[in-house]
Amino acid sequence: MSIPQNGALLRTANACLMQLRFRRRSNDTSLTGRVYELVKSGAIDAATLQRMSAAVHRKTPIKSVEPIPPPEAGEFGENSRRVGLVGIKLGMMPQWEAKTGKRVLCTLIHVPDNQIVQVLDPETWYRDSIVGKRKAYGRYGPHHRVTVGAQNIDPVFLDPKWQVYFKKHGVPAKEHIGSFLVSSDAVLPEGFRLDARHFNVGQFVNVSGRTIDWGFQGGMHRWGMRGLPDRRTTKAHRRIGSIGSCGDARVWPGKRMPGHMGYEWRQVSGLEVVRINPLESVIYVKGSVPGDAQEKLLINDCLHEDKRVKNPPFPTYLETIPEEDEEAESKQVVNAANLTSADIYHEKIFRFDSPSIVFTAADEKQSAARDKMRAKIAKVKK
Amino acid sequence: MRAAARGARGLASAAQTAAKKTQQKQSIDDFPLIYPDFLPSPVWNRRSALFERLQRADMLERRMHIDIPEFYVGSIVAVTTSEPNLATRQNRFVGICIRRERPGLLHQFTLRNVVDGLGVEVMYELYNPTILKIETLKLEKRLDTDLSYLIDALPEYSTFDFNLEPIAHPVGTPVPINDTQVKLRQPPWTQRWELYDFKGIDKAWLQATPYYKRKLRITKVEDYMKYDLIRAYRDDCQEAEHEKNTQKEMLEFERARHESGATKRRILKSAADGI
Repeated sequence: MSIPQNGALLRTANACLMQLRFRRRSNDTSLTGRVYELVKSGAIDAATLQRMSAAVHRKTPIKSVEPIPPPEAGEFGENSRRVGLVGIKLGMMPQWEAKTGKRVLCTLIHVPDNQIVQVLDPETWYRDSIVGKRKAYGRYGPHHRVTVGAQNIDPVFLDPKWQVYFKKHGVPAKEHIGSFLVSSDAVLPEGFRLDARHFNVGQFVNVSGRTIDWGFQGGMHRWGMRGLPDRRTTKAHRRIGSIGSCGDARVWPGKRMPGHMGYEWRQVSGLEVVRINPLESVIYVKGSVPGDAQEKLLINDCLHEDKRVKNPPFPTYLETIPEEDEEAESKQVVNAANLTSADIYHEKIFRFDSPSIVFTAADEKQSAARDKMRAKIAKVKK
Repeated sequence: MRAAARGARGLASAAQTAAKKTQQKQSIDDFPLIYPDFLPSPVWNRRSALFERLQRADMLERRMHIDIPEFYVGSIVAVTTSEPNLATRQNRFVGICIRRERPGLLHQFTLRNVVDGLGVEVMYELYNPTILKIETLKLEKRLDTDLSYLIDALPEYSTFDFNLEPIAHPVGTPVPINDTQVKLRQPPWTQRWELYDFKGIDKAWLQATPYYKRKLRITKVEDYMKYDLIRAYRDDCQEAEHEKNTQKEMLEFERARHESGATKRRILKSAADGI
């Protein structure tokens, strides 16, 4: 173990701030139960866990699933709305443009074991849910609520009510779930497996997730307040100062004050998909997405007028029949040499298996102003 | 009989040590120093096995197409990049490497030289595809792993000839350590060099002005951080298991590419170990 060199002392403040970020321990929207917490804390050892897992599997046996008939390919109409994918944010990585050599920072989103868990038709959704009463019948027609699950997990780690839920729908237990509004022509059967190629390279997507959890923060960091002066101020440099005026004789509801910051659901729209790794189910998206690494994300098509996807695989990627795909996957050993061999790249992105970028005269920056030399030479000739 | 048995045992042990040597040659002791870009991220949040594998796949693929030589902070390096607006469409810069930062594909190194009396520092991303060639003109180390102080040193310590001929390093010999101690210009400096523990600066404290010496009393000097072993483990990311797995992955990648006949380039190299 080496003693850090002086270079470590010159680390930027940004990196230090990242280390101090609050990391939420118990996600209140997660499906995991007390067993997960106990195993993480070390209270349950491996042998006990195995026995508990066996008991859960006896209670909720995974019945042999009949192969789901693949849905028919359809037309992506004007009011069509496809299902989305549930992913996990891995991190950010640079890619480069093939023509200009410009750097493009991309976010990697892992979409493992995505499977349709539940499909609620608009009538039932409207009847049984308050959210359904708002969303089931909208301006663009009735929408189904399709719940997608991601990342297979041993059901022993789930809350019992979620164990029952997955058993009821005949789907292996998932760690994350998310629901999407889907039009009737794009509905898929329960248990259907979704692929990372559900999205086209070059299309735009919306990515939503819970933002970084900053914990309890003061007015300056949470709301961008300016604080109070450095000099001639008594013990109040980062405080919020006045909270109202004498006339109102009260504090306005919603007054910006210190409090919990972050871990709120936000959507970033119009992000371009630049690369897809179908072997590991990873989508490379240009730009940044909300949240910390290892947090859940929901990805779906962007429906903005100028960014709307043109010809997506409708209702989803259907090219490979699941049985054939499984055989192929079991034959091929995925290691570093062929991890990215099946990647689908955007044509503008530099592929690392091609040689270095070489420019030609055509790439030279052409001046916008007209060339005055010609006129001068003509004048001199005269 | 006893002598024969001893002889047989001796032969067996000699064979064993030979086998061990060939096995050892496949792994490098100084791996984190030669390949700092393969170190994992110091931010614990960003440590993800799949993310690191995907990043390494891209890095190894790039290394198969361009020769990225071994160089350290303190080595003199020449970089040729593609430039769209130059007549020759290429630009070559020679300088001393003053720092190497960031993990993975983000890895960047900075070269410093004095051109026409003006100090110039150029930062290059190691995996940028516009880099055509990287040459190590002189392979050596310095007393520090960060030579940012050269900005406040006398210009002669940062001046290197653009037409410097490459000096070959005899393979198998350890990388030489250049123990020059640079003289700084008169203060004010860009940073308070007298506070740090740079071995490569000659008498920074004596040159510092009385104002800063008085201010030392209230300066937050964190020289105790070098004794924090947990922080060193977490931030310097030198985990033996990770290094071993990374080297194994590199060799497997190399072997797969050689077998396919695409190229014969070798990625895992070490000038000091002679492999």
